[in-house]
Amino acid sequence: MNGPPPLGRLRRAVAPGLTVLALLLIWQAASSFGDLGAVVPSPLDVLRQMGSDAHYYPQNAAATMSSAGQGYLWGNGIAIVLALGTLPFPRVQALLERLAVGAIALPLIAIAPLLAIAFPGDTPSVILAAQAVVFTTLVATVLGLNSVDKTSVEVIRACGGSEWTVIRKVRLPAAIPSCVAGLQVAAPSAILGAIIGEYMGGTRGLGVAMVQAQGAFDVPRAWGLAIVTSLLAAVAFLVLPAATRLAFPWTRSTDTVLGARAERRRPRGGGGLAGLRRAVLAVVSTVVGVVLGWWLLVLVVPGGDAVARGPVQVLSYFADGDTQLVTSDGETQDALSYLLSSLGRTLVDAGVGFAAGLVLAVLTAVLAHEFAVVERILMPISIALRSVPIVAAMPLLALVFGRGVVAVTVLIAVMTFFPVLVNLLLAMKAVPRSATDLFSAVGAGRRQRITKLLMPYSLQALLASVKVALPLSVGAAMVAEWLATGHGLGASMTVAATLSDYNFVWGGVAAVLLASLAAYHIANALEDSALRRLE
Amino acid sequence: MTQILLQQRGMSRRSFLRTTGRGASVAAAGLWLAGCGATGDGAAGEGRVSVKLGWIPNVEYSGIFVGVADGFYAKQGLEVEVVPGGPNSPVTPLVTTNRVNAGIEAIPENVATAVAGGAKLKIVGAGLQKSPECWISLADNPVRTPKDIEGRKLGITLAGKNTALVFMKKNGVDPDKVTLVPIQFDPAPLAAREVDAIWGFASNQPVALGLRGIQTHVMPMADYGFNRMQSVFFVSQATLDDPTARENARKFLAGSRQGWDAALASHQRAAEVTIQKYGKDLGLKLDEQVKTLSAMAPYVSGADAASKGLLWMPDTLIEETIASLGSIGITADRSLFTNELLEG
Repeated sequence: MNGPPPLGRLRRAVAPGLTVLALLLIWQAASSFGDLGAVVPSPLDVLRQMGSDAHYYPQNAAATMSSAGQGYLWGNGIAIVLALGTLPFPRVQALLERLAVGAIALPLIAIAPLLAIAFPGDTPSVILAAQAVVFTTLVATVLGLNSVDKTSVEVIRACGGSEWTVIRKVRLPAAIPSCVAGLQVAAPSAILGAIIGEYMGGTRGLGVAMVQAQGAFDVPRAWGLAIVTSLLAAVAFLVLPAATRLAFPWTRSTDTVLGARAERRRPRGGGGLAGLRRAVLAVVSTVVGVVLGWWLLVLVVPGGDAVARGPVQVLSYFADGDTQLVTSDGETQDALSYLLSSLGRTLVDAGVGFAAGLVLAVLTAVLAHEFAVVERILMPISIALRSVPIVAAMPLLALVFGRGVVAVTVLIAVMTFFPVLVNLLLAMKAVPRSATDLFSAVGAGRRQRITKLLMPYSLQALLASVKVALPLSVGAAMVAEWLATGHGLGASMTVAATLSDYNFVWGGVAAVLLASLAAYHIANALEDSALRRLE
Repeated sequence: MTQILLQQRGMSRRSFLRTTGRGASVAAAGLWLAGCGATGDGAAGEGRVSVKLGWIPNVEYSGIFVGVADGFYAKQGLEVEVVPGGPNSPVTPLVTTNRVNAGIEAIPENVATAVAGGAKLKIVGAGLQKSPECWISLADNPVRTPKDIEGRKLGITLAGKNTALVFMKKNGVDPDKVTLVPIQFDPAPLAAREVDAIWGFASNQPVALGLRGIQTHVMPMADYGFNRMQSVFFVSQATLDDPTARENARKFLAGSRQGWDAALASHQRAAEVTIQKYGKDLGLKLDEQVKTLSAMAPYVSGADAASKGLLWMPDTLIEETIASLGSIGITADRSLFTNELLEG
């Protein structure tokens, strides 16, 4: 790891170089392949267009990066302050995590117009960028703060150290790698969030330029913009760890992080009745929390009357109302049954996509850990996938993957895969060198090392990733439905929003929030029981 | 249903009170700004109108841009601020809440549904006198009649889903024999032959595809029982009730008419003005913008334009619009429309 010699460095660059070359060849082939050629321009055309567009990238990129940067600072600042500030209060921390789940699961299609009404100029983009990062960073930071070596804590306690000393000497240093991973994942997310904000009604920036290019069917220009966006995201992704290594050199000795042997402070114990009571309490508090938050939101949203609908109003609408959405018979839909059937569809989509994305991410993480070359090849690809707005890539994706279950699965996997992969890889790299050495000393094979060492050590990161990925999948499923299938809540809320049927939109948002929170609770319970068994 | 309507009315009265209150403060702020802005010129700074567009600032709004460039607003002592739009960018709520003074919505449905929901809005001009909405297919695989779409795969924007379903019903097409898939505004799915036809604007996608050598066939909605005005200019009732605001809105429409006259007289210059001033960051291309405007021009001028001028809404067009909206389940009546700002 420590500073490879020039030759080694050259050798490390071979694989990514070959990947780029292979991608270029595939790209060139695709551009001259029948109908695919209509949406895939040749690399040379794109390069030529990028040359003549060079003058307009800077001001658009500056606008986007300014929104993304502000959102990045706000979102991460809020997440870290919340994680640290509530460290002594685990219950508050759990509550905040739930709120953050709500933030990530809010359907873009419903909130983007709301933001555009409530805030002028670039502010909606900044908010969407912040929204895109706050949850992942919060979860990563909390994970880091809790993934401490139990013995270190005991040593400090035995020596008479206070809780504050534990925080200062053990938790904070231990949190840095995980927190940095969160910040790293957040960089492309913030850019994507800003671009989506621009795409959904901004006045300037790369997202607006993309709208123009797509509307004018200027495919080479749209690809040029996608490349510029990916490059910006890649730079943002790579700059951060380099800067951290300079600032906190000690975090390189990852032996200090002992993965799954966390000292956890969640209240637990007692099965049966106590468990049931906790479950009921969780359900009731979640529902009450959502309704209360909703009511407050409607009160404070500026200009909210135009689009905001309160819980009471929405309830009465669903109790005895029809939507403004027509069926193929030209009749209006019954609101409640339409909402429920749409939600059911969305949950199935999300579940399938989540499972596929998770399996893929775990496999990739293991492969990337075992074969460094895989990581070097896959990281650039997944950064690119993470930074190009799906909405811009949709025509191509629909052509390649269709618009059925495959397309939905692929879209969700693309959107959830990246944070899981990064978290898992980090945890696997944190396996103590001594343990790895022990395994090789006793002649354990690769398979044994993976199942007996790698997986147990990264289990907590995996479970934390599940907590991130489950609500993410619900949001991603709605994007897929909006763009690809035209079924489910993602589509029906879009139609309702364009018809000013805001009661339906707000009801849909509430339903999605509750579903995501339920998913989050399930993930939490899984994490608890798995970790309890480990201890 | 009635219960809900009542409730929304109750709601709207509250929002109306609040809106007018806010309107007063906005007006006060406007006066203050005007006081600061008056730099001895006198004419500029007397009145100010902000207008929210339904789409990114391209040649579709060139009449307004030419109006600014040629001083058609300034001559009347009016300053116009253009607020660009985009996909999913809301226009109606911004006018309802007085964030902007006037709005342009691509389709009148959005204004009509807001009014049905209690908003006090009036359509005061029709940017397009005939609907350019159409089914666009590839020339070598054309969709010529509504019956042709049976058994085909069609791309629609989700916003147009209701309209598409009603169009089929009206023309005896069985929706179960048609596959509808959601698309955005870009014609790539058609170009790639993923779908057989897309729902679009005769002045947009066919031009964009034609410039890239892809020939298309266009089946206009207006020829099959679904015509209505589009690109509608609208303001709030509060604006019409307030003498100063009303006068500013009247000047805005007058200037916009002159701007559109000039834009239609020279597509080339209108495109240049659009590119240089408003679409600078978008990298708009001249030939594309000129061709788009040329395709759009017949829809802007319409049949009655010679007698009553641009933006004017003839009775027949208002009737047709109300009927079309009614067919997609949106109730509107004549009180939604008024030519009063165009009469002088």
